[in-house]
Amino acid sequence: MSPAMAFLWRDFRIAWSYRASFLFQAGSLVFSLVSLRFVADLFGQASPHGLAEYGGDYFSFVSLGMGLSLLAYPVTKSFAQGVRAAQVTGTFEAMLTTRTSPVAVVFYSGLYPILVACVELAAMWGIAAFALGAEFHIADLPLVLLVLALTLAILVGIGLCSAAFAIAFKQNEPLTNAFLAGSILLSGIMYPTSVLPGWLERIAFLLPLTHAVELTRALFIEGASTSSVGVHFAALAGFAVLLPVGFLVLQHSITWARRSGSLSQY
Amino acid sequence: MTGPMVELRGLQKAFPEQSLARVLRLRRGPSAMRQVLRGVDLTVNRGDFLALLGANGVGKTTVLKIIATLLLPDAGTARVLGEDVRTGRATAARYVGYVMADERSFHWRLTAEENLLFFAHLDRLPPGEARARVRELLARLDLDSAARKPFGQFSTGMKQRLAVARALLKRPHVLLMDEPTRSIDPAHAAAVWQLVQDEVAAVDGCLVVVTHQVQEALSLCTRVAILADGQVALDTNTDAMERYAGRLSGLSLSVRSLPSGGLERLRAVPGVRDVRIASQVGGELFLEIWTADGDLPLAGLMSEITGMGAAVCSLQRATPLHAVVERLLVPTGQEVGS
Repeated sequence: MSPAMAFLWRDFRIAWSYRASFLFQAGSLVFSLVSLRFVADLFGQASPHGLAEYGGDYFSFVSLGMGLSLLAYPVTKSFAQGVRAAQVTGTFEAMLTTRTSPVAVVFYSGLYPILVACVELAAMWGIAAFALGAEFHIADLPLVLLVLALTLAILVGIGLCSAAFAIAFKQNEPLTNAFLAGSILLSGIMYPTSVLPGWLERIAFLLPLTHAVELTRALFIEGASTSSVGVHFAALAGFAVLLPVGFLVLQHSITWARRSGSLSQY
Repeated sequence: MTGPMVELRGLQKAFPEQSLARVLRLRRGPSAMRQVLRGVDLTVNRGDFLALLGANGVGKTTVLKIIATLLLPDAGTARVLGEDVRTGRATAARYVGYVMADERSFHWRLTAEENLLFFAHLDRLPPGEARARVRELLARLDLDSAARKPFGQFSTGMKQRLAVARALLKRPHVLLMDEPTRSIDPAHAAAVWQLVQDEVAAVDGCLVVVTHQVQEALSLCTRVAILADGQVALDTNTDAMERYAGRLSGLSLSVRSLPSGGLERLRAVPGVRDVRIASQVGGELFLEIWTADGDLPLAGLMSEITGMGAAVCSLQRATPLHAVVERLLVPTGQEVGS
């Protein structure tokens, strides 16, 4: 078994040992979706004009946005949470004495929550489309997968920087929370960015999730505008530099912690 | 692989001073540094069984962590099988096994077997070999009947034995052990040492062990290095140490709920020369008691301890390490504490 598989297997076994929580997590997804369906039914009668360029169906619009925001939280948090849990239980130091490199140990620590988040995302969009009436129409599957891969890469990069902070300072950093809160507010998760004041809309453009959400809607919803796809794709590809940056910052942080003697502390 | 297995030259390491004011964030600015290692020179060769002794906080664990690449030295060099630890982490990770002092360092919801398999996979053991190795080590350490038990249900001694098994998974050539039998009963401690001797001999490797138990160091090791003032103050064979240790008498005692000032009261018991704290596990304090020659002052000690409201958890006759260290370090002809 490879080290990556060993981490996935370990985290599944630990998650499964809390069976009630494991099952409730899956159930909560359905509750969230059904709630969104009712909200959409309410808005559907009003036909808000801002939704016209997204095909006009609020449920399709919001379930795509919510899906990506639900992906963002575990992916950006999982590495730092994995590191902190390992630091506190004392397993971090033990893992660092194995043949698996320290950077790989941190990266693999976050794999299981990310895998679960991806499965939940697929399940959420599947249930939305097949059970709750979302009007998805995927014309270009490879492009959709590329956009999702880029989004994941960006979020992983941010998550690795957060883990680097946790290693260096033995606490979770506040910037990821600010990024997540800012993204929920400004990235067009629940409403189009066009409803924001102009200056906030410009700030929204600086958030990678804004482009991921816009691209996903353009590629998933029949009748959605595709005029800005090129711009959003270029922006998303540019933000993907955060992935190698994340690995570099993490490597630097581990070396710093080995030098300062804080690698073993919690 | 020729040459020394571990070679430390002029090793220095300092850590930021931890004060209550800093922990509570009442004081900011650069931390004062505490120099722990001030130029450690040490060579460990193939076949060496080296006991690293010294007072608490003298830097024994720091030396082990540098060899295991968990720490980088500030100055000097540390080589494992010829590779500098600054650049050769892969070599150290492949050939060094480390039994850490913190025996809690496992996943509490996983069984003993699952825990060991996890670490075996991180050490890149092929799946079949990993399973066989895990079963073999669990059996040798008398943990096979508890293999399917969650780690959280293990006693402290069982946890320590599992930590030994983990370090041995990859058949290390350099085995580092930090107080590995502190909470293990004598019968299981003997099994641990037998396994360690077999494993080190099988790969023609070496052992560096930090221990506070003089008898353990004398019976297992061929060499003793004493750390004092951040340096190796003495590097000798165990015969030389035995000449001193054989003439010293004392007790190893673990207590709970010892109030502040308790050590001073125990030092004042007639027949007691000195009392030091060897280590602490949870609320249990392990004490080394150096006694005068003749009868052991058991009655006086018990009466004093119970009088303070503390409870004795274990007691055994043992040579006090700090007395041995002090005697070995004084210039020839002088006696300390006599």
